[in-house]
Amino acid sequence: MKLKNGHRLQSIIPVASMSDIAFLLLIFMLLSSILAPQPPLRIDPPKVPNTAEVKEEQGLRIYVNAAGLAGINDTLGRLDDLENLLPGIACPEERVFLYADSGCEYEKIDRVLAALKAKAFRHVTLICRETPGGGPLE
Amino acid sequence: MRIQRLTEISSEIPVASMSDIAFLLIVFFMIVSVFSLEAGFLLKLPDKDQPPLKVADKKIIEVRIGEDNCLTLDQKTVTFAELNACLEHENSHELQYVAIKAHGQSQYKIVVAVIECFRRRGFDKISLKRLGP
Repeated sequence: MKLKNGHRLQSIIPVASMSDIAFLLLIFMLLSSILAPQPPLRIDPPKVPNTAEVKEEQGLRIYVNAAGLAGINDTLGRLDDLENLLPGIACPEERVFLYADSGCEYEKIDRVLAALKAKAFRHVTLICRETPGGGPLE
Repeated sequence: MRIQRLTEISSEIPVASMSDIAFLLIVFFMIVSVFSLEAGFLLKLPDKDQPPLKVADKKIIEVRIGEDNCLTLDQKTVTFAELNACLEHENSHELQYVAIKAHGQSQYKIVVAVIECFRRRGFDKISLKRLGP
């Protein structure tokens, strides 16, 4: 007598929920990613052979070019009005990223640093471009 | 006589390829996205109400950057190569303070290069001061 198998093993892997998982991953990536900010000024930062890598966090971005134009985040203005354009500090640990042209006079940078100090900002990152073998004479 | 319909219209929407599309979108986003990393030097500005720090002269290395971008280390004119060579002999950099005094008309890239020179050698107590207009 032939014995009949009571239950059959299914040879199909259920993939119906796969699209849900994929779309959840997609939504997570879209929400967690930050769009790269568009600078209001074209800046050529100084080239140096070694720097520390700085993870761009949320913070204030200041752009200064050699012609004396300044930008804060996406607002463009003149360097003379920088102190008026600077917002009040939200928290003492708020970071400032300073993008300045390599050919800029130091006087302009000093004015920016003085304005930041007056507004109680304490953490400033001077943004550079790491170029192996690069230096001030390049 | 009853006529039988040959083609049956399915009432289901085919979703089998939906997961392929979603994964293709994920792969696309992963490829086109770049990690936002910048390079630079972190400066800690002094508190505006804090009185200036007083340090003994012998603990300070003074570098001046002139209007014409020339460097002066402890009142001696030096080139970048000479500055690097001088710093190689400095061993007690943990105790040393660096005062970079840059002329207002000197170039920012020179100031950054001097900061980099000291940072590379482990000097982290750096102060910046503007000279002239």
